[in-house]
Amino acid sequence: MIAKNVSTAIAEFVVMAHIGMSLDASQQAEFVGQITRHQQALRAYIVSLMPGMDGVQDVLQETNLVLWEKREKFKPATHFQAWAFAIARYEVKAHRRKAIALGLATLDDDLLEELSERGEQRPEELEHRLRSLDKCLGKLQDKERQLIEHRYFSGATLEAFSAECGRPVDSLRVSLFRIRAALRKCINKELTRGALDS
Amino acid sequence: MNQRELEMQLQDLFEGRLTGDALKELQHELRTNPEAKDAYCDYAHLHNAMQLRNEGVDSLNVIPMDQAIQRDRRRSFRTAMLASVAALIIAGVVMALFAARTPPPTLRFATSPGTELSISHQLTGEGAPEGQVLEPGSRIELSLGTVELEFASGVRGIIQGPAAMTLRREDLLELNEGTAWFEVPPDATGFKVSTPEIVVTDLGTEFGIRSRPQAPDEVHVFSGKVEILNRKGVKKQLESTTGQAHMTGLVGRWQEIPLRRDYFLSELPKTAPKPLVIFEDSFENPSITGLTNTKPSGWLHDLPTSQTGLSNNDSGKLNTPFGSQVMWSNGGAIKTNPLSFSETLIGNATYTLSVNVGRRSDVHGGTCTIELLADDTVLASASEAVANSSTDFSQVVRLVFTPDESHRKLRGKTLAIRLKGEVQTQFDNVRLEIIPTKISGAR
Repeated sequence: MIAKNVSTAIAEFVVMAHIGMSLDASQQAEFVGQITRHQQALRAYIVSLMPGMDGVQDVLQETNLVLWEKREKFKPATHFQAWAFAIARYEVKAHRRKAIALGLATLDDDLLEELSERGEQRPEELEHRLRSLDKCLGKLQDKERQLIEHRYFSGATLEAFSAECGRPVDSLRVSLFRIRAALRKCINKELTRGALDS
Repeated sequence: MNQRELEMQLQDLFEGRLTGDALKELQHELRTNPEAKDAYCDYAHLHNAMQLRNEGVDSLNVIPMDQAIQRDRRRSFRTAMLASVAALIIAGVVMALFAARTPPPTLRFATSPGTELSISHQLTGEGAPEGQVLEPGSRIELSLGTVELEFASGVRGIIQGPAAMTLRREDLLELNEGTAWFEVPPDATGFKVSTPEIVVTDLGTEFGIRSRPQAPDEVHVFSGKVEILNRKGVKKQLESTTGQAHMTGLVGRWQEIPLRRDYFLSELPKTAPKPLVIFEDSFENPSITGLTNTKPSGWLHDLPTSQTGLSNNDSGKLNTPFGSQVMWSNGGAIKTNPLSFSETLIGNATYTLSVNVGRRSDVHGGTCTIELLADDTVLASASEAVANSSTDFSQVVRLVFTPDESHRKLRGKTLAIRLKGEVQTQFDNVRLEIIPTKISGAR
């Protein structure tokens, strides 16, 4: 049985090509598969549109719900990721409007959209990045790794985190800056190594 | 703003601590400095990856089922539909959780951008593997690009196309063709790769295999040792250790060759190989009006008949979007003039020739043929009937050609393109692209 004949970049719409306006059970399963496959990329896209804002998870779930509602409007000949990102963009805008009304200061919409477009990742790129992150975390000193992991595990504000750690905010800020800079440098090196090898 | 200040401000932005003038300053920097934009993307990617790593798959429950059902109900879906939807949503969520929490499949694979492959599975129906996984009996044929294999046993492989392979067992990969690199952890010692000529058994190592039609198979050992068995003739078996490389020799023996790490990749390329356009013509020269027998510049008539020429959109019978002129053929053929196009065939490349074809509004098109030649030898050809709907020249005839050892003698010969058509077939936008490959035919 030939399952797929794909160019990776267009795998999505090869899979979706047979999904028509009215979805049968297998087509619905395929659609759910598409949503599942793109979850991480979708999340990454939403994060890039919401720097420093709470509610990434809510927006992701809302986006998923809208995707599901509109499943029959998805045009098979188009790219699933582009379609899903357009819906996510709309959901983020709605969320940002509410947050700005409550006093949030953040970057302008048009700039965020430009930046998020620049940073778009396909699912396989994101997987690459996650693998590289694991490698690079392994290269940090134990104390550094614990600090950065705890920072994300905690999810609290830097001030609350400072109280939790018993370290001044400024000192934490500088330490986290150094660790993040090291991680970014290491990840980029890992990612470009493959490209240079090719 | 220097780099450190920029990165500190990005950190503050993502920590939700950047306000007032500092925010304005960063915004200005991001609008005007491309490097700052890249730094922002990097930062967003890191932030997301760290969050994902710490939140895990629980943060990715695909669709909250109760909400989906509630919404669907509001839209008056039938109950039966809801049940089916719910089941599928659960399936989707379970699928995501399953992927993360149950033992992995025998083999997962990932591909580099631009990869073209086909997959077939021995198991069909419900038992068939889903997604980018292989189970025993699964086969991959890779026409272009690179695939990374990750076995459940910890073995990692990078396979460069063109390649074909079948997973026989968790510890046995049948490589029919391709250039492959493997890293085998101590726990997976005994992992085997078989090709039509050899069997390589790992004894704890990192090694590479080249298996190509019409060339001896090669094994390169970068660390540790492997046992290599020649399947032909006297079936000579030997151990090859760090720094050694062998190719199959006469009557089933082995011949030592220099170790070549540069043949192999140990990581998946992040970017697609970029094609290089080496020929492009949309028949705009010489400039003509109406329908003529004028020969296009840079081309020669290739058959005794001269049933070819140039036509212009201003004839009212054509509508090409590629400039305003096309080449027509009514049984004749044209071939590139070697004085105008003198590129020669190289071994380490994949060639793609594409031509847009169409028909006149007043005549149905016939069959068209495009050919890629080295001197007078046809390397590859493609034929298609011009569709009745192809008045807009959106129909593309394409051929892809990758030289192998059998074309060795033709290397250095001048490339040529030949176009043939019947019944007023129209040609336009001829493009020949090459993608250089790392696989070298030279020793």
